[in-house]
Amino acid sequence: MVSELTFGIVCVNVGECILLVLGLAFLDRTGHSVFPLSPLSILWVNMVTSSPPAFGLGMEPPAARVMKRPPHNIKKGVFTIQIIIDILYYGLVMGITVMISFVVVMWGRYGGDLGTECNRADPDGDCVYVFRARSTVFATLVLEILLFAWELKALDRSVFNITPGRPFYKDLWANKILFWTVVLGCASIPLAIYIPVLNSRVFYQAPISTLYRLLSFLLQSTDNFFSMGVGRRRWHDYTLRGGRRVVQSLHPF
Amino acid sequence: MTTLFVVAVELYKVFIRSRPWFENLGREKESVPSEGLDDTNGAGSEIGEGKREDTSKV
Repeated sequence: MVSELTFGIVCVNVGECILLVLGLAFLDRTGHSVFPLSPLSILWVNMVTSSPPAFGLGMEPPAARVMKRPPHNIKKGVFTIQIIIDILYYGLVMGITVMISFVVVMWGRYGGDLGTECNRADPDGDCVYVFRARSTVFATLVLEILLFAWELKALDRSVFNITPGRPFYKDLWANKILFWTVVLGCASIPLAIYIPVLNSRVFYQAPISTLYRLLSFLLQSTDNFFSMGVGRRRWHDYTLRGGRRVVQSLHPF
Repeated sequence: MTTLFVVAVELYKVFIRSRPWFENLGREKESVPSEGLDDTNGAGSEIGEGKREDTSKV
């Protein structure tokens, strides 16, 4: 529905605003602010991973209890007091959790060294930690936006109980456009983090080890899954030789 | 952090968003339509208060 579409986009924008405004407080050695996300990453988030789920939400069928609610007062428009509170809450939680992920990586793991001029420098120098923290922020934000799109299927019910008595995965599968935009959006996260020139020159990011481990686990799980069948030995050999080599070439360490 | 975000959203929806008092925030009792199934989308009182054009003189 249109209200969920608008609502989702505004929530994401509030979350990004909180993240970027708070991020101005992080100063490097020269006193310049270090952005938690590069400008092109923000554009990528808005255009590639935020807009398609919004289109999917626009095709969402009415909620199961829609006829049990009182009619909406047209004098108040879309932004009622409930919607405004929702936007502030979701935006605040989204912005703060993404900010915490940046802080945890920078100060919890790398000691808070924000480098020098990391808003445009190469990751080979002292900016590699900032670039990795940016990758973490990017992955966290995109995942939150995509999962939030599913949460918007029902504003006042848990995503695990959207339609009473019906398994939640059937509700998620009911809107196939939304389902595939979420799945493909998740699959697009490694593109901006692991493709060599794209990550360092365009998005100012660097590969991170946590996502690498997850990718490696998924690839090896797929390998093990296919290797269980006797007639699929050829596929097993292929992934054993080629698949792991691909992952090793992506390994940053 | 993503898990924390999802948990926070779920808790908010279950314990705050679904409560009747939250739904009634900013809504005066008399402005809540009791019948609610007319085609005026909740703005029926305006039409009943003489804003409709009087066609009886034509």
